[in-house]
Amino acid sequence: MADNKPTITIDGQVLAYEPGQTVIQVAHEAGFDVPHYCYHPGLSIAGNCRICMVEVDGWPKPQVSCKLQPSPGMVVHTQSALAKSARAGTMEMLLVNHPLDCPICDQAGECHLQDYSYQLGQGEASSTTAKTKLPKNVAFGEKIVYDAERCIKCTLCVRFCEEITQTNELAMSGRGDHEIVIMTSKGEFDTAYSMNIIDLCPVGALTSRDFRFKSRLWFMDFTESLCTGCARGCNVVTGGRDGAMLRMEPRANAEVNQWWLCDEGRLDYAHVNGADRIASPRIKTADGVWVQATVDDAITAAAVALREAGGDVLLDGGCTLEEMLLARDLAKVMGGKARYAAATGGGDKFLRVDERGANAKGAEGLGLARATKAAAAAVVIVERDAHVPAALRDGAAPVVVFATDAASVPASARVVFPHGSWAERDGLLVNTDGRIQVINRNPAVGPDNIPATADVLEEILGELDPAYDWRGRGGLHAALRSESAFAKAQFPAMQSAGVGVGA
Amino acid sequence: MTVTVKPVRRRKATFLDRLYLPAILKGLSITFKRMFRPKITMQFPEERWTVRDQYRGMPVLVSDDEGRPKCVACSLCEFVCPPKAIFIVPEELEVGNKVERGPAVFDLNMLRCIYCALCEEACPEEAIFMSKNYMVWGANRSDMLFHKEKLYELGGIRTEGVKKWKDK
Ligand code: SF4
Ligand code: SF4
Ligand code: FES
Repeated sequence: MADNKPTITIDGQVLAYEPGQTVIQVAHEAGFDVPHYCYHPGLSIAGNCRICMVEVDGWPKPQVSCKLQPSPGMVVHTQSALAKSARAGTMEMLLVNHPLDCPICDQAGECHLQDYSYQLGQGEASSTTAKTKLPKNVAFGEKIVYDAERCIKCTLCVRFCEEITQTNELAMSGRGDHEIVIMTSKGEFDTAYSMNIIDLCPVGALTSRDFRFKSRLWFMDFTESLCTGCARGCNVVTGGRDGAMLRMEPRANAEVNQWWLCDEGRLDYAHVNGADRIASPRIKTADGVWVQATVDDAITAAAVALREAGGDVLLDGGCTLEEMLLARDLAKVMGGKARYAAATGGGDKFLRVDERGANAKGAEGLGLARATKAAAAAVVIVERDAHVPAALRDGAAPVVVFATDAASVPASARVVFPHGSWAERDGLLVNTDGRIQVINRNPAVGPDNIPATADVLEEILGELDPAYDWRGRGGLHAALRSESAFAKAQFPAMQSAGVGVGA
Repeated sequence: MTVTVKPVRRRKATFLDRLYLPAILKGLSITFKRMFRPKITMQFPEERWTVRDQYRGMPVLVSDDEGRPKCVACSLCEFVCPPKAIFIVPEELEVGNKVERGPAVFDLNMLRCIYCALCEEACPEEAIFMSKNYMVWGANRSDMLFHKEKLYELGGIRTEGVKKWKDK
């Protein structure tokens, strides 16, 4: 702790603060769990929900810590009787008109109102008057459903539209217990970032139309990963259940996406749940019939086919660094080159960039050329049709194909391996700013037991090149480190899920 | 481990024991006495046992007094059910229905159910109840998988209990 910084005392702990910080920020930094609804680190401070109240020595009344500027020597108690009873009182007021429809509410399980109610609330209400009736199930644009009865009027959503997107679609209307959020425009959100207000909303007042009633949270598996909709590499959490991907939500990373995610990226997972997902390797017999094969048999067959054919490897710009490195080595053994393909366009001034290949920067770092027109390739890896469109795939006339969907397998293929979508693979991606980040496999998404593409590539490489030594993930990372493009890069620890510091 | 053996001495049969007749007569006397007592055997299935109030038979779904199916597909019973006998797929109800949510699929696998009544206890809507039905049978496995329609039919109307949707 620097000596010249002013300090305050929170629950007996002396903490230094930066001028401009508020008490809740100092407390959160030090790991104190001060409850909050209307406070968000990325938005202006409103101080209207009153759940963050703390006691300050020498002040007669409890104070809202999210708005309270510390002064040197201030002594704050977050757990004193006064602070607790103030928060319990706030909780009771917030629930006076709450409809208690948790059984039908998608927020149940991640609702701050529920959490704090367990911590601070009481079972019985002292108010006996009838609850206020307000509009429910209101469409806010096409992607969001608003329920005014659940709303606690924290104005986070309004502030987001004012301060972040600056499009002002939302406003508060009415007073007292009839205050609700309304849409100012003709009922349409024109921002590409509207769904962030769903994550912001601390209660179930704003829920997603896409995820509506799909599953309870506690049945789902959540994994820290990245959005691969464009090369920004926004940090996300993928949520899945029983093989299906159900939703994606942003994960805070101050250096990449702050707290946000674009709507397009968030909803860009249709191909993960495609009806025609390839679930096991297939081999084409001499008379042109596809048969299912074990991974080992398919690897042997692929090696045989590639020894004959040889040539280039064409891969999806969303492939991981490990896959790209292996593809490059494989192409070398076959006397060809590895190329990558990715779509472009759709960038904006906020998060989205024009480059859509989530690992295009990584491919450049490895010296892969970008494929723009059809050219022969023996191996094609395709996850998104937008990146490797039919013209490129079919034009390559590959014999070995790694594909997510059966529809993207060209007719020339002789061996097909299932390729996991990004939500089902582990590996490193380099985002548009050169930051190396991690994608992680969500065990609840995708067909069961599909082999990792990197493992299969390595096996094939081993078959083709007798001198090849199995490297595994550790070996591949070591090899990547010795690449000149990544020599100075910091590699994130795999389990830390992409908080790596950029190249 | 050492095993301690305790020899048991058998009593020798007396003359009367060996005669055999007294034991026969004793047994027959019980039989004759029973013949003049009231009958307690039931002629199942023509005659049925009336179970007590706290009896836990097969879980069923109920409708309220307006005939509205009460389950909102919150899936708490699916979560709490120890043998995973319940499978629910929620859906959005038709526009204008103030309940908004209900089960598209509600399957109860009576080959799995252990009659623990945790579903009844967990249900915030008072929509699932342990019925008095103890005759759960099927000729094959799929007969034992009860779907939503059948469960509502078995549950019928229940007038008491939570009615929070009535004046929403
Ligand atoms: S009674 Fe128990 S085992 Fe049977 S369905 Fe209900 S929770 Fe499951
Ligand atoms: S707990 Fe009740 S309301 Fe919820 S799904 Fe089960 S039966 Fe339906
Ligand atoms: S979080 Fe401080 S008043 Fe809402």
